[in-house]
Amino acid sequence: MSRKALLAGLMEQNPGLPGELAKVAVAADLAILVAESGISRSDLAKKLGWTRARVSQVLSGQGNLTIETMHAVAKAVGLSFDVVFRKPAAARALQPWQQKSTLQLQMIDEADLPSWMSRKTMTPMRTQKQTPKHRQLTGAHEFVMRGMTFNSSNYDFMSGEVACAA
Amino acid sequence: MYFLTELNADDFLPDSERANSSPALLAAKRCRVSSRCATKDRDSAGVWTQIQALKANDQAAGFKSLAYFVQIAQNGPPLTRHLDKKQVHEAHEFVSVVSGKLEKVWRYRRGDIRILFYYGNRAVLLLVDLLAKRSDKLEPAVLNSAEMAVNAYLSATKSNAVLLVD
Repeated sequence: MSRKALLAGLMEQNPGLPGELAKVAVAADLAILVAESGISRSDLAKKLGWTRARVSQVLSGQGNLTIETMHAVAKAVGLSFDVVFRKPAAARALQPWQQKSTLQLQMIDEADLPSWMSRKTMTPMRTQKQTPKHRQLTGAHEFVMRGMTFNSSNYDFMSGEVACAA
Repeated sequence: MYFLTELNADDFLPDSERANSSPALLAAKRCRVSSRCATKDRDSAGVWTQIQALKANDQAAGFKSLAYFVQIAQNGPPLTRHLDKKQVHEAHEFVSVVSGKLEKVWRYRRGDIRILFYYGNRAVLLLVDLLAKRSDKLEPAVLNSAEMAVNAYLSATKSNAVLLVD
């Protein structure tokens, strides 16, 4: 049995499966969010006034996952959330924990990182004397965040302060 | 040769969506949830056959459970950080005839679905079995099959016969 054949059969039996899988993905993100925040499930239950069983049900995607439920969990760990729509081929929106690891991953691949740039934050180090030349990225730096490509051609624009339009 | 493939979030998308979708992000620190393949084709992974072998009512639940498990595992070890003890715990231990050591098979539980897995080398999380159970006691045949799956993996690793299939 191949994956394709299995999925085709499941879809035929249950046309609502893609929606159910989307709910499972959101629940997994919530479970990761709670784990990354460092709060225990017991503490989360206390904070929300829920039973421990309800927390488990919500974070496993087996309960009724509503916007209100997601908002309550996000708020309990000090965050908010947006629903971000995208075209299928567009880069997926990164979660906070993914932004950190993706940046680190790209740093490892960056062999020609200038010596004056921090390997941790990918920004010029404050202890170094900076010249206008230093403010411009050189080499093949490029990463995508929130759907925008960030590279040497637009670094100044992306990092500079821009007055809000009135 | 022992063919092994790593599962990712895209494996749970219908092919029409998968072809147009940007690839899922893979963090370097992830657990590599992997299944043994019958052939060089990664669609021949054994876990799809295991889901197909479930009763019709359990197949969608098995598929969703696996999707959730893969997403959680991709945030990196330990799984117990994201899942409580009731959900993920040691299920069986045995002395392997291949390694001569005590090896442990773990279980992820979601509703009636049980996923048995083994922590292999280099962050590989080997899927050993996926089954539907109405009780927690695993039958001798299931345990025996799990031991054989782990031994086959250890044997292939020992003889450098593992071929990763993309």
